[in-house]
Amino acid sequence: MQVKEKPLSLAQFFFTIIHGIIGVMIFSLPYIGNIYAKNNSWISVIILLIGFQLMSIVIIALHKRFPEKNLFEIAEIVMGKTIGRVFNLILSIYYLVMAVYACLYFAFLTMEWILPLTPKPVIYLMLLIPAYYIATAKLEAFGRFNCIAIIVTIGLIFSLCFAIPEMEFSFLLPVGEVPLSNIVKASIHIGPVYAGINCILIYLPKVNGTMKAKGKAVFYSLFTISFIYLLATLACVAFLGTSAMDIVIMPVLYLLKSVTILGFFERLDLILISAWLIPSLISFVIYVHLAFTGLTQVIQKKNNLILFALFIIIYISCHATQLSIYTLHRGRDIMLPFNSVSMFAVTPLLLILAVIRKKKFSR
Amino acid sequence: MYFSKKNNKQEVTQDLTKKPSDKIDENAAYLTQTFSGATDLIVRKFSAFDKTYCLVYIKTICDTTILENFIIKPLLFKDHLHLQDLPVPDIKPLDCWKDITQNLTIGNFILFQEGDSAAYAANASNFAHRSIGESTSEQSLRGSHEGFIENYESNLSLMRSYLRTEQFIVKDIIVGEELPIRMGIGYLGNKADPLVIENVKKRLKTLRVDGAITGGTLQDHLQDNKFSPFPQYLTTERPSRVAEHLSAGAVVVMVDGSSTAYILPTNFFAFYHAPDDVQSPLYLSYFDQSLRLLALFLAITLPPFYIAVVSFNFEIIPDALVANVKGALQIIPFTPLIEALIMQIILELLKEAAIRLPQSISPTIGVVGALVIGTTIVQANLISSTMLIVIALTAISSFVIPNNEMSHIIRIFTFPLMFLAYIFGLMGLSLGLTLILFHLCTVKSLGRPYLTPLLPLRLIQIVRSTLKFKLPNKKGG
Repeated sequence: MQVKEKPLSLAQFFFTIIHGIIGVMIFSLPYIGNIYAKNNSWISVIILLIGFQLMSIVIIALHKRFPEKNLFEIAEIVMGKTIGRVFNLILSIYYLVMAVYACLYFAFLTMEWILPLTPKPVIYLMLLIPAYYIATAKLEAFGRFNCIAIIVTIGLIFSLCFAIPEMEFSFLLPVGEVPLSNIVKASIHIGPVYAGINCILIYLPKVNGTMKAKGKAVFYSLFTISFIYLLATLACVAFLGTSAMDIVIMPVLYLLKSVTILGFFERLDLILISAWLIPSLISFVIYVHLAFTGLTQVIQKKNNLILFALFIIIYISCHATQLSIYTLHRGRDIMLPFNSVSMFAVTPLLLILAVIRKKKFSR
Repeated sequence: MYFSKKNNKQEVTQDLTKKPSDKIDENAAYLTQTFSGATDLIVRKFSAFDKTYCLVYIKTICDTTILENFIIKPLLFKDHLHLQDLPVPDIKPLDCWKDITQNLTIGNFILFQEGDSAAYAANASNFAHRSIGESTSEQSLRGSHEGFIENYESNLSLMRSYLRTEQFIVKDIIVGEELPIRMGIGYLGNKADPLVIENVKKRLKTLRVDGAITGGTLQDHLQDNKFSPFPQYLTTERPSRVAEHLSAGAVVVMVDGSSTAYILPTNFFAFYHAPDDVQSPLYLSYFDQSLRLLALFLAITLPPFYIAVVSFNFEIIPDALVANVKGALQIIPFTPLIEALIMQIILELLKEAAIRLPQSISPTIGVVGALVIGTTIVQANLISSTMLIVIALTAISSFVIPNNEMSHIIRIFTFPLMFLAYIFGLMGLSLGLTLILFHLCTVKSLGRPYLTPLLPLRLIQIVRSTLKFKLPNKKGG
């Protein structure tokens, strides 16, 4: 995105974070939790909620020391130019890989549920072309768009509510049936759904507001995201039960498939997947933007051609990857340590280094 | 425009920056040559009390009664009467031919005196124009039924009757070299943003056009985003609407010779306000505006949604309706996209024909559209009855939109959305709507986001506009 002098408002920032983190992977979140934590997977989500609320404090503390700098600029300041650039390069490549993964996941979802006969390259382009248009637009327009796009997320929650009459809340119990280690393991495996959390440190310098207001926005946005994930998990466990979720890879969609509104409107899953193009698009664009920002910080050059090149790389990478659920699961397992590091280690590491090296940016 | 060619014989030889001579014969000859001997250019010389005068005017745009009673008679019957003391308002001396010729073309007369190199001009204009009546494109049940006409002075007079305040300011700008056209920028001094006013003035001054100023010509200069299909200024022919927007801090551009006023900055939601909204009670106004937004949603999404559902995702159709829809589609030889395109094109043709037909035979269109095309095409099994319902509902929804330009744009948008829905189903519709929505987020009107006050959210502004801000009262009349 072109960075304009006009900053984001707090509301736009709030919704941007939500969409930066919530992407396509919400649909398989309960399944992943169920693998390890069974009927207590909702506790794993609560653990993540607490963990990321604490992380928000770390993020704000780091931003306080460098109010005008983004994540990559901070890395160069605290780590030194050379190590900082290497660090930024690795982080950029990580986000590029995440963008590829998001694109593959979206393509898989679309092909499995809506467009089984459409060629894969066409589906990739369905995401990449509008993403390029959005990525080259101004940040304020992107912020405004995120405010509209929240309607889709609200639609998801609204749709889940129609399944309440058929939910068995006893499926959520008993608490503690699964060992704590499994619950924590589930938390670690669910964690990648928060992979876009570092976008907070990219956009914070561009937000118009006091430190307190920004801190609140970060805190509440992460809480909202965790709450949405918790709702989805609770609904799926209560509706489907653990036995069904052992074999259902995208339980949220199966839940919506079974829901009928007023006994008349059916197949909400098809409508929601189509509408979920918007959040998928936004989270994909944010991943690309993270990669682009990191790369431009490394090479010290900003050009739309670099952005275009990134899109070409993503397209070629998607094309070269065999698209199947096994590839996605395998990819998730491979990326898991990198996800954990980027989410839980990067920001605290930078903060610790900044404190130790007494680095601070004053206006 | 395709037939104009440069007249090589008649090159401009006169230097219009020169001053007139003190000999009236030379001045009269100069003007006759400048106007190429136009038959309605009258050069009248007369003498009184040892002085010789020359009165020049264009008779088709001047009120000769004013000239006879307030120029010729006083000069003939009063001695020692200085030209500046003539009983006409606004008499002013001119010292360059450019000003003199311009004054003549706007209906002023020019008076020369032998031995005086200055020319005196005053207003005696009497342009032919129609009487003030209701605008045909913006009708309302309640409230004012006055509309602008092509005469600039009359339009200004109408505006002054709605805005009886010293804060209502109009600044004139002359645009164009070969065919100068007068434009006015109107605003309320205590409401409008000075930056907006300066911006509008700057844009109009950069307008380089020699010909009639049309909406299309102005569009490129008034719009921030020239390539956006969404209009970034609001057009209206109602002075009450202009007054409403000026009270909210907008600026109006009025063009001499056009009954359309251009209001800017504007936002997306202004195109969905009807003139009746400020006249109705609050709850009725809310209901009507909600209905219009629902109509917008239906107009843009109904045909592509139908195509997506019947082509790709039949499962979405409730069980009770599946048999009906499927039954209607089975005997149709065309795909849903072709059906929809045929009907949309017929609709557009009917609409265009309705505009061009004389009023006396325009009801024929209703007969042709409803009976001949609507009924017969279904009976011939060329179009399904469900598609006909969808297209009819779409057409009605698009006509509910008060602004003609916006209604047109929305109807045009259904075409690419239908193609996307046919190729990608609901995903294609979602993709198209995403692109349209994002584009709306990028559009600005004079630097103000197009989706204001929704995005960025201006809650106070929304509350004020829905609770109806106070307007200056139109007194009397």
